Amino acid sequence: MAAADLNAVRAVIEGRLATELANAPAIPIVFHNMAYEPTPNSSWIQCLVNFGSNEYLSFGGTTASDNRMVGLLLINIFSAKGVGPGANYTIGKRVRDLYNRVNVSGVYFDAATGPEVLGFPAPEGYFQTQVRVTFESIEEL
Amino acid sequence: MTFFRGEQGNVLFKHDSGDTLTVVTGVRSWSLTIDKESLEVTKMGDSFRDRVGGLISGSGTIEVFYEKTAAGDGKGDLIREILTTPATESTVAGAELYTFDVGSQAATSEKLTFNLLITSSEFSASVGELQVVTFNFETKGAIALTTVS
Repeated sequence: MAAADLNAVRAVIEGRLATELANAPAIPIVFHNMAYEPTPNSSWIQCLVNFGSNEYLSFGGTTASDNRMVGLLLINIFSAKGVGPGANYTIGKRVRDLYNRVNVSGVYFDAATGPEVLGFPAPEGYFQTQVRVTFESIEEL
Repeated sequence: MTFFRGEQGNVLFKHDSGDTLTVVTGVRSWSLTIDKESLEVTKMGDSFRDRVGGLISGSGTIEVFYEKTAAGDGKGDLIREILTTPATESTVAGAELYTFDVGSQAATSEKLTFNLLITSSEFSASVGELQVVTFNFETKGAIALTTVS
């Protein structure tokens, strides 16, 4: 076994969303540290993967041991302002169903939270909801 | 003075005399309580009670994360030990609990060695948590605290 490849975990999480949102109706998606200029009144998604705390699971040193890695997947869903929440929630369901209690490639996703309406969208000019999913994976050293 | 942290420990287990002590993987904790009987030897005329030690015995727990195992590996044998019937039970099922394993149980590691009887195994599964098995045991015969040389 080896130390966890965080980039591989990120790829699993982001790849799942990218594949789904490439299906019709396709929705633009932007990840951490990417420039994006949204089209006014369009729908688009921002996906942010954050790795959080690690904790000991089992005995051992740098080999023959296990850690629990916990992270947060935060997905912001933007849709046209002033036309109700329906279109946004439709996207929210697609997103939520991708992760809700799913176990894929060794990444365990917990029960999803949201889509939750945000009172102050960022950027402004959109109706914004947020889906949050904590996840964990086991690092086997 | 050198102190140790829990993760520096380790557990080895053997099922019977034909087995060798094998590392149990995915161990979360172990504990061993060693008791000594206290026998009163106060004599007539003494002003204070007097005691001597009697028989020594031990009991403890080992907690592991459940995983699919096979009989014949350390963890697989430990998980199955409670199901060994008295008729086929080995008298020399044993364990080594390392207080400090320098790595691969090499020299200068410290350990407690004894034979044991698994008296209960608790398998548990909780939503959102890794599955854990807790073994309770009682020691049989001598208990030794030694440094690996």
